[in-house]
Amino acid sequence: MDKNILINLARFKEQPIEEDLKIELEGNLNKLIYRINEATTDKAVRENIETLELVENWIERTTAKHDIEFPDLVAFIEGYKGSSTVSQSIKETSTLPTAMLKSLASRHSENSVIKINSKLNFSQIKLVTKEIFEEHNNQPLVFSIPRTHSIPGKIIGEISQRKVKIPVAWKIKIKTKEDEYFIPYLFGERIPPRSNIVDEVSGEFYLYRFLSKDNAEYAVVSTDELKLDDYTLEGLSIDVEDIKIIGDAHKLINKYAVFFVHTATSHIIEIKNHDQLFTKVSKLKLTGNKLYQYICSHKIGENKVQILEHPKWFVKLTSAFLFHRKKGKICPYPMHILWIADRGTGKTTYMESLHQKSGEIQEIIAGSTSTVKYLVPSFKETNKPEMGALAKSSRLCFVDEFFRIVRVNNKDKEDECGRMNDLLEHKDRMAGSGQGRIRTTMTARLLASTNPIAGTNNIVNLVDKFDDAFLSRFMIYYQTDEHIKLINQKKKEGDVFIKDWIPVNEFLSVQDYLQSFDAVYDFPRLVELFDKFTSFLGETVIGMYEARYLHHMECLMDGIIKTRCLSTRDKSFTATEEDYQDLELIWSTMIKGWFKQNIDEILRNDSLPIETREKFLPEEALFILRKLAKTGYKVKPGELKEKCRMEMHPSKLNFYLSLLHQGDFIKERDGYIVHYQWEASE
Amino acid sequence: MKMDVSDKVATPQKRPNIKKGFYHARLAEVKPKKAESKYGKKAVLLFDILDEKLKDNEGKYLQLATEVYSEYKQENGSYRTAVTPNSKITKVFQALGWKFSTQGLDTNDFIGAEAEVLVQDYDYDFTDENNKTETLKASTIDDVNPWEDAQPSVTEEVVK
Repeated sequence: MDKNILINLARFKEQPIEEDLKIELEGNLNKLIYRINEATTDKAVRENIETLELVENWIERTTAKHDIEFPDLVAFIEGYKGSSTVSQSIKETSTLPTAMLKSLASRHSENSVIKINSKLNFSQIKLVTKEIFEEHNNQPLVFSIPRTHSIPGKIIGEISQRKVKIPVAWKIKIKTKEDEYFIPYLFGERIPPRSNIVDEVSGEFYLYRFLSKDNAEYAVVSTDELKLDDYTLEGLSIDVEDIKIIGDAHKLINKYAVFFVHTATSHIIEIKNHDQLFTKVSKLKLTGNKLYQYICSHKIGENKVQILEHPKWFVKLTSAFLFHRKKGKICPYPMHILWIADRGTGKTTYMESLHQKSGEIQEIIAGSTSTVKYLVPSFKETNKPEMGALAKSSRLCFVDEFFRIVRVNNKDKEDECGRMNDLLEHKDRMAGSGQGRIRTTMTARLLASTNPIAGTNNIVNLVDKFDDAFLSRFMIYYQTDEHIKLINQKKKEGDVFIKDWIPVNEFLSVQDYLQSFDAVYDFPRLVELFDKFTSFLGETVIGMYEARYLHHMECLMDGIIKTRCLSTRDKSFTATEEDYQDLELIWSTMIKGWFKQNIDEILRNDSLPIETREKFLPEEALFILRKLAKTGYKVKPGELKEKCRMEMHPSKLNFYLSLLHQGDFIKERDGYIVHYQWEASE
Repeated sequence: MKMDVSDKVATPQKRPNIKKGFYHARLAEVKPKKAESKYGKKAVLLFDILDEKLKDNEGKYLQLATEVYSEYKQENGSYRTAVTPNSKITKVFQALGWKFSTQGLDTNDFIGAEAEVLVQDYDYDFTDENNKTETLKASTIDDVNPWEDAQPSVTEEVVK
């Protein structure tokens, strides 16, 4: 900004005041604006604005004192202060040292795609192409990929699953009256219409969609195969013209960035064997306790991590969900979890805490405001095909209020839910419509939570409302009363904070490795446990259970073994008795939750073996039964009451004793309370 | 070449004996003690002493143990848990990072947890192959405290 502009705009000569005053005021203004800078850098503009604010104050004072106005000066200041730069087009350097150009020309003399370690801009790579083109008689076309730009972010999907041939440079013949000559054109340059293309060079590339940390989307072109994962990409970003339809008849020309990858560095450190795994675990000082705390914790700020307490078995289930390997003979798929519970039972908070550790860019999907179309591939007339949220997530996908997405409507239920079936089984499928086609595979595990809306408050009603083939793909968990009670109790106790936190990428590298191999367990033993629960599942539920729950049990077992081996530094990754016990505990607790409403019926059902029914007893009743067993399976009522006095109120004790009576778990004999296993123990 | 021969042999030291004091340690294993003790069942906690100088030839850390009651024997012959708010086992696992809760204690969850342990000497009788018994000194862990990272290291000054 020129200082004289301000003096001129003040128009002192035209002001209706004395000559002496004019000189005095001009002098005052000059003093104020001595710091005005001509540069247009951010710093200079900031300083100029500060000076102009002083001038504004001076104008205000002078106007009030001498009854004169400076309209042009005011307008100038308003214009200067009220504008800001959103983006700038700065001309790129288009020169390169001759020695470098010569060296490249002496090394490359055929049509080729090359990688250059230097940071060259688009104008410079054009220069390289031109130099090589002109240097040799055969006029070779060379497309260079330098490492100019560096963007951290995530590969969110594959545009094509196989390598695709993409032309990146062309040789154009220009014919004039007198002469005929050739010009090279590069990818991103606009080739004049009706040009005569006489040669072209193509490269074989993998194509991906990439979302940078600052939320810009790129089409990534890479010579190497990449995973759907976190990367820092180095290479060259070239803007190509794209069209967005913004109304019925309006198109908007926009730039879409195509990124040619020179080097892709994964953020997730790859672990290759058990030794490397345990070295990492030792480095992270990971113990079982720390692992469970980490799974249940939510980072609030630097050095402030809140613990969300949940039952131990539930945290083990989560850990198994994260660590298990996909199971299945032909097309392996993981265990997805559907968590059903009333509001205020900790579902969303827990989901948010897991999302924080998942490394997923995609946020938790709000079911209350989404449709199935958002989850599965969809095709719009006006845009490229969308992969859908399920396929976009790489490791974990979170959906809150799941039942609000899937319409609870008998007519549509199969149709709506069925659209997710293939994806949930991680099958590689081609989806298409008249508007386009897209190849999709889901790689993430789904954790969906929901309120038991529209009469889905127990498993029988749930199976009735939804397609059981769809439901069977989930490990369904109806939150147990004990779990809800613990959450409510912890709410009253106040927040607990710790400082321990495992860096997300470190945890993901452990998680990825654990998902890459099978743990060893005894399959017939799993089948035995699986069959134990079939006896009391009614006709409606048994179909769903038989369809895929053995698969879920295998996944769960695999995860349980890995969780234990990880924390106890056991390199065998083979099941122990403790793992089978943990599996049975988790399994029975989950199945018990299915029958919350009609648990009394199950407890009193004589046709079921008593050992099976015992698994459905509430925690308190089980406690009494265990206490009875510990004191020799036979005890006087008063003695039992005394033993349970510290843990239970007498009225509660009487209630559970009557429940145990009704189910024949205890009997009264000669004034003693007798455990159902008493005779066997004798 | 003729050589003299002696029948004297060095007594093999079966149990490790290191300088008394506080050491940085890591819980390596927890197992039940085979023989029952005076007041009930005990658990043996094996700690790796994280001192590079004390590593063996294979590069493994020296291990020392401590014993804590896990279950107390009652008058009627049954056992009750020793994991109560004021017991030693609770204090040891709290030092290893456990927060007391009624959800139970799984000792496996603390394998790999670090602590500061107080190593003391104790005497034991050692009988060699020739039935010769002598009293030897060995080290044991007397106390387990929480490990706080980045503690200033202790340096010994040599006074000439």
